[in-house]
Amino acid sequence: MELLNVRDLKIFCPDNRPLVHGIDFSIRAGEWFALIGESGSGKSISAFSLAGLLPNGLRREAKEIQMLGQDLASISEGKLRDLRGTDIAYVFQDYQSAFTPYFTLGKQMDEVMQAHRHWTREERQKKSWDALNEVGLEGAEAYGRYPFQLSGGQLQRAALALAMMMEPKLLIADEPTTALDAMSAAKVLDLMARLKNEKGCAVLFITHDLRCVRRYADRIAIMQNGSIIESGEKRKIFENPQEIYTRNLLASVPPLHNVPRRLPIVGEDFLEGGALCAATRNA
Amino acid sequence: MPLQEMHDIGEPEVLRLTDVWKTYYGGHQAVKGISLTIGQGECLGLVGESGSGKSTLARCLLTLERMDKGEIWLNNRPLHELGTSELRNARREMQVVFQNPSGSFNSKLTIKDSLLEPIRCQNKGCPSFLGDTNNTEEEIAAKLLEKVHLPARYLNSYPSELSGGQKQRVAIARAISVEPSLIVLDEPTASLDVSIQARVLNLLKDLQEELGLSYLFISHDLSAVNFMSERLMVMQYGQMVDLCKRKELFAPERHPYTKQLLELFDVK
Repeated sequence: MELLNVRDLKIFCPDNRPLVHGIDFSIRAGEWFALIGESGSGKSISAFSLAGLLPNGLRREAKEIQMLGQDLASISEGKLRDLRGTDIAYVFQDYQSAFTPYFTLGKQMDEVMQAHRHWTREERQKKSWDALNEVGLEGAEAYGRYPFQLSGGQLQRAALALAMMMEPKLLIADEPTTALDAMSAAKVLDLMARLKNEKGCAVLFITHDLRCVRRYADRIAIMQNGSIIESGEKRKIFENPQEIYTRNLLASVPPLHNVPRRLPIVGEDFLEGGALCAATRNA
Repeated sequence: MPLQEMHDIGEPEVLRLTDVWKTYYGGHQAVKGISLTIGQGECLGLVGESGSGKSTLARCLLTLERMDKGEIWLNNRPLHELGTSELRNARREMQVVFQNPSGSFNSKLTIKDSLLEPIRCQNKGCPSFLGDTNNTEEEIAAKLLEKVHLPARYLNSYPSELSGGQKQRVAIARAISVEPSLIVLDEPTASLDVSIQARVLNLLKDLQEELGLSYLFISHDLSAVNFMSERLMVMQYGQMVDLCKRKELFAPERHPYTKQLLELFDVK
């Protein structure tokens, strides 16, 4: 069953220069959908634009952003605000700014519930503790902590707890592990996969870490310069990529076995007039 | 001790650390008795999580941090015995590239001035690998940028006008400009995305082969370390838990922690 259906999504700069050139994709309920690409390919702003979170000045156009029987492209800002934080939740790369520095985690979780639900103080507190426990933090203790008292990995897990607390149908995770080391990243992703399966929530995973894509994703779309150039089942993309760009992007992660002398590179090199193409670098 | 055998590395030695300890104020033991050697033209990879002590070790060997105990031999000179002014001279033989390229440039200096700072400050002329010794400063700077595949038009730019990958290239150009014996690369690609990382890693390898550079490559990314290094060293809780040649990485005698890391990075 399709949870989200996006048709002809375009994003423009203030000067009407297009950043995203009309992309189509759909996410099924409960699946892990990875949107991958280089910095600047437009993957993050596409995801932000879904729930109307574009930076100032950028403009969105879309034929349709269908989710749960509503068209997010045309509903009112008020309805959109109700959706954000409940049915659509976000986790960002920068876990430091997911929390206000001078509020405890508990206070911030409380705030979200107060905004969206009419629960008693006890209900809200129990919900926060449970959510924190689920991400492997000591709920009762972490509840009273300030963000700076937690490590990066812990803070990102707390951000995940905050996002999953309202049991969203769609979790949009924008490079959630880029700023973490491999071990902490693995912990966060394992948790995300577990919560996704338990709660049946779909994940829109934006990343350039192809290793986690290979491990967790069900389907993949590859973005380049504002367009989706290829998409499909993970196995199909990894085993038989149709586009040269996709093939080189996938190969640019250093392998552990059969280490090549040089890595394939995608796109053009910086040196003017002398774009080093991937083929010559591989030779 | 089997680990000790691993230090015998054919090529002449550039750096030798013996039993380095570092405890921070407050009692946290960051580095606990690390010994290592790096050979001429070799890249030694150092893998570890955040907090494993790998960056502290790097700061100790660069003598940016005073160690509690231990010996540092750079080109057979004992850095641990040198006085301040001698140390300042000896230290020039080492250069470093840090993770955060924005933090390694003075935002008020042009790329050209930042790039030439080590050469000016060490009263060195044109690096020998650029050939012609009669180059003007402008020419030296332009040729250094060319070495890292950047066009000369960036010379009069400011750091804020360059992307992260471009700044990291300038940092590399600056590091090679004084022809150091050793370059410490502390997570040089951690803040870059995968395609830019591939380019920077290729560039580092090209330069290493062309100029015979020796590297200490530090990262939590096992696959990047594995790509760069002939030998890999694994740190956990301030100790070295494993040291092996690249081809022995999957051998059964690896430390359990190394195997754990391999499992994370070896995704089928």
